[in-house]
Amino acid sequence: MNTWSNWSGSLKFTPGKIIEPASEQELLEIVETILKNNQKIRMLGAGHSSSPLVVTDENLLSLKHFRSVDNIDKENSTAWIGAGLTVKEGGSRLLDHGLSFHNTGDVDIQYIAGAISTGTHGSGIKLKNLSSMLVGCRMICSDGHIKEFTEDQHGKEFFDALRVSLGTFGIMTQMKLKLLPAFQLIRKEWCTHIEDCLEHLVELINENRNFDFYWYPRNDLAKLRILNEPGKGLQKLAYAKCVEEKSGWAIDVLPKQRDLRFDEIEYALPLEAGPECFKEIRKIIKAKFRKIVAWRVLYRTIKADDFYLSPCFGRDTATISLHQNAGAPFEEYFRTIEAVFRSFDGRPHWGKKHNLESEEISQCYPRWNDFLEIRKKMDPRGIFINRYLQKQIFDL
Amino acid sequence: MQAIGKKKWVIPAGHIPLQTTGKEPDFLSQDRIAILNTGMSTVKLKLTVYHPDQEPIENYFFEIKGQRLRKIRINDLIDPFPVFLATDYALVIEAEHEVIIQFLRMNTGHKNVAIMGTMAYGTDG
Ligand SMILES: Cc1cc2nc3c(=O)[nH]c(=O)nc-3n(C[C@H](O)[C@H](O)[C@H](O)COP(=O)(O)OP(=O)(O)OC[C@H]3O[C@@H](n4cnc5c(N)ncnc54)[C@H](O)[C@@H]3O)c2cc1C
Repeated sequence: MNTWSNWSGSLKFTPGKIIEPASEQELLEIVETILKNNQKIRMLGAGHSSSPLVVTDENLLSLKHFRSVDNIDKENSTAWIGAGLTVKEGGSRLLDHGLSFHNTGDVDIQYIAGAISTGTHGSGIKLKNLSSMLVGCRMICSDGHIKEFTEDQHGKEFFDALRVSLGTFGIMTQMKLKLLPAFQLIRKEWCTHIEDCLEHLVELINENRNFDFYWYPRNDLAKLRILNEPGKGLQKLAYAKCVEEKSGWAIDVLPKQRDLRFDEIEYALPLEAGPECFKEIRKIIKAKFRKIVAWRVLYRTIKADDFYLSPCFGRDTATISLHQNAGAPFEEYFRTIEAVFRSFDGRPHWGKKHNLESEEISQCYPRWNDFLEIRKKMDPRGIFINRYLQKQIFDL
Repeated sequence: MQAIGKKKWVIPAGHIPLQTTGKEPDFLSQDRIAILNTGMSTVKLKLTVYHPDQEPIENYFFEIKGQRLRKIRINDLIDPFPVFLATDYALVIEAEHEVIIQFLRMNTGHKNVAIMGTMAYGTDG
C-alpha cells in the first residue's frame, strides 16, 4: 500500500484503502460494506491540511469524481455543487452562471468541502469565513443512508454545528451554497515598512473590502494586499509603493498561485488583540528565530460568526499565521509563538499545525458541548472519527 | 555593447551576520551580490548554494535585462530554500552569457556599520 502525503509533505501515513467512487450509488454500496465490517472512514479533500485530520489506517475516501454544479437559483444566488470540486474549478463553473463565492482563501486549490469543513477563510472584516456559504447538503450518514439537509428545514442550530465539523457528521456528496451575483475586483499590492503598515492598520482594515498584509521578518518590510470593487476603498497610499495591480472577476483575482511548499501555524484572535499580539511576535522572531525564519507572517481579519467550532465564533477576528519553508525546522518556532497566541486568547486553525489538546481546546469554544452532542447523534459509533480527533481533540 | 565578464562566478565565503542594529532594511546586516549585465539581451542566471555539512541546494533562478544592474540580498532568498543566518555557505552563479558579479557584506551587529566588498571569482570553466 502506498504512503499518502499531504501538500507540504509534513504529514505521511499509509491508509488501509483509498476509495475513489465514481457515483453516489457506488459510494453507498462501499459504505454499506464498511458498516457491515465495523470499519471507519475518513473523507479527504485536496489534502492541504497539515493537522492529522485525514489520517487513518482504515478507509480514506476521495470524492474527486463528484464534480456536479446543479440547481442554479440565480434569484436567490444559490447552487448545489459536488464535494469533489476545488475552489478554483467550482468558482469558475459558478461564474459561467453569473455567481460567485463572497471570498476565497489565499489559494484556490482546496476542495470547497474541505475548506468549509475546517472554517477556511480569506480576509475582510465584513466577510465571514467560507463555511458560512453552506446552507444545505446531501450527506451519507452513519446509518449508511443518504439524506438531504437544508438550513430552512433542519434549523440554524444544526447548521451552526455542521458548518465547521471536520468531517465528523457524515460524507457530504453535494453542498448547497449561498453565493453572490458575480462581481469584479481590483487587486493592488503595495510595499511599505511594517511600521507604516501598523500605523495605518485600522484604516486599512475598515476602508477596504479585502485587506491583509505579509510581514517579512528578514527585512521588516510589509506587502499590503488590498482588493475592492471598482471605485471603492482606499485608492492611494502615500506611505507605500504599488508593486502589482490586477483586475477581473473575484474568483480570478482573490486567490494567488503558490508553488513553494511551506508549513504553517495560524491562530484566530479577538480583533482588538491582533496588533499587540503581532508586535509581540515580531519582537520574539527578531530576538530568537532570525537565524532560521526567512519567510513571512500573514495578518488577516474576518467577521464574527455563530458556528460552534469556528475559530471566529462570537467575535470579529484577526488571524496571524507563520509560514516556514517545508523542510526547515518549525517545531520550536511554532511552539514558542503558539504560547503567545494562547496568551491573547487565540484559537488554532483546524487545518494547520497546532499543539492544543481537548482540555485546552474545548475551553476556546462556548458551544463545545452542544457540538459534541449533535455529533454523537449524527455518528454514535464514531465511524467518521479518527484516533487523533477521538483522543486529542474530543477526548471520547 | 558586448557582454563583458565571465559566465560562472564563485563566492566561497558566505556568512550572513546574525545581529542587526538600526532600522531595517537600510541597516540590515546582509550578504548581497551585485550583478551587471552589459550585454544587450536579458540574461538568465542559476544560483547554487553550497554548505559545509549538507548537500548543495540548486535552482534559484534570476533574470537581468540587457544593460542593467541588479542587487540581490542573500537574506531574501526563500525559493527553493532560505540561507540561514550565521551559517557558512558558498555560492556558484551560472549565467547564460558574460556578466560581472561583486559580493558585498554589511555587518551592523556592533552599532558601527562595517561594509566589505570584493569581486567574486569569475571563471569560464
Ligand atoms: C497552500 C495553502 C494555503 C492555504 N490557505 C489558507 C487560507 O488562505 N485560509 C485558510 O483558512 N486556510 C488556508 N489553508 C488551509 C486549508 O484551507 C485547510 O486546511 C482546508 O481544510 C484544506 O482543504 P482540503 O480540500 O485540502 O481538505 P483536507 O485537508 O483534505 O480535509 C479537511 C477536512 O475536510 C473534511 N472533508 C473533506 N471532504 C469532505 C466531505 N466531502 N464531507 C465531509 N468532510 C469532508 C476532511 O475529513 C477533513 O476533516 C491553506 C493550506 C495550504 C496548504
